[in-house]
Amino acid sequence: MTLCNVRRLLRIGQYVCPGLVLLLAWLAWRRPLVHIGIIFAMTAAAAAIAIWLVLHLAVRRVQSACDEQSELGNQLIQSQKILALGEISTGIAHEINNPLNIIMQEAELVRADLEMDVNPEALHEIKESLEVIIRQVERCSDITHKLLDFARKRVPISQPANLNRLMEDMLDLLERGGGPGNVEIVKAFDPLLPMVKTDPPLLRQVFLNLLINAVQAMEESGGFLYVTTYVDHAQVCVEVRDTGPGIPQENLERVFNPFFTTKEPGKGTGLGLSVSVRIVSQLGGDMAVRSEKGSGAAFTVCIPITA
Amino acid sequence: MDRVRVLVVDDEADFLKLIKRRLEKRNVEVSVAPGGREALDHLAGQPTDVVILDVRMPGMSGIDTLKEIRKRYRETEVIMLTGHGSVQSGIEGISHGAYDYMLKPFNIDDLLERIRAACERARLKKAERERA
Repeated sequence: MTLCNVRRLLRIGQYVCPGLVLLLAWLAWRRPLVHIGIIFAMTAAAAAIAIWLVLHLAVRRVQSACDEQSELGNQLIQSQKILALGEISTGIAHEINNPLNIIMQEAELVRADLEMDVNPEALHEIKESLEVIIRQVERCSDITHKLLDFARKRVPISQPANLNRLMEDMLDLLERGGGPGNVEIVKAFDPLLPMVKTDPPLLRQVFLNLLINAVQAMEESGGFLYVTTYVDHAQVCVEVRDTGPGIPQENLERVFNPFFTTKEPGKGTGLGLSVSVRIVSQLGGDMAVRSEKGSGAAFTVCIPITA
Repeated sequence: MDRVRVLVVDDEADFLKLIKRRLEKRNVEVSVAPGGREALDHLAGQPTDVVILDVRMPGMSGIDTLKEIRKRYRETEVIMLTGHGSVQSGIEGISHGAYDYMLKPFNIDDLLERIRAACERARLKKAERERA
């Protein structure tokens, strides 16, 4: 029982208890023993006042405890928001500052080259520097694009979809792109998987992201990519599991946070999974991760059949 | 359902001619454009349900064309066409809001099925907008 419920009970009690005592006094008054009735009525009135006072004080105490509890809750939410905002700001600063730094160095090199006699060798260097600058600007633009994508409010358009087919298409795209390399794909699709009403392009984006992450996790070591579909509690679920190095326990809760990444600089902005989890939530589904260090990671996307 | 209006964008003239003939046989209204800029000009004047867009084209790339279409015509769906050497662009296309993709060479009935699904989505989007 919460403190607020206790407060409600006491509030009812503060009217009911004195009321009962006064009722007893009234009954005694109606009997022939009038004097005893008067004494009893006075005692009852005094008791009622005392009970009311005690209850009133108790209610005040409980109310103050409830207010304190609610205030603490608000403060906790606020501090979590500030923490998340701090992590996002640090992420943006880090992601943008790296390419900006390279752009600055290259631009300075170009200026130095131009200040000297421009011979063919210097011209070649200038051209190389300009190419690096263009690449880094594209990198910045990619980050801002992903940020906008993360913040964008999507309105899902529901269409009947077969998740086996959606996943098969994404695996096909990955395989024909030469993506998996030394990774072997093992499919275990439920052939009786029911259709779901969902937003196919949004879900393709989520599946592709999970597949690319899994392949990247096994890029050096190689391994197996298990893709499984099944029905669980009126939901259609898709699991993407790799046999890569896994995610340490301390990072498991943060993998869905924006800008959280363990990839090398320039290889990932840390927005892919946070965008994916937002999409799945907007589709009325759930996304979960389980992993143990050294034994791979498994991401599961579940979409309600009735959605 | 009304006749589906499709715009096919590819720099291969022979492919455009062929796909136009095959889709028209299946009761699809087909227009063609040899590049991204021409596609945008066409869309400015002709309402279109679905754009079939090659990712690798000289001049304005498929991805840049997709970005422009997404910006200007939210109710028009885009299906990307990718070859072996441009799968990465196909992946990029999906993350930039393409409805679907097709790998070349493709089966015409498979393409038609995807066109119908994309068209249905365009219709649902329009209905959603009119309700709002």
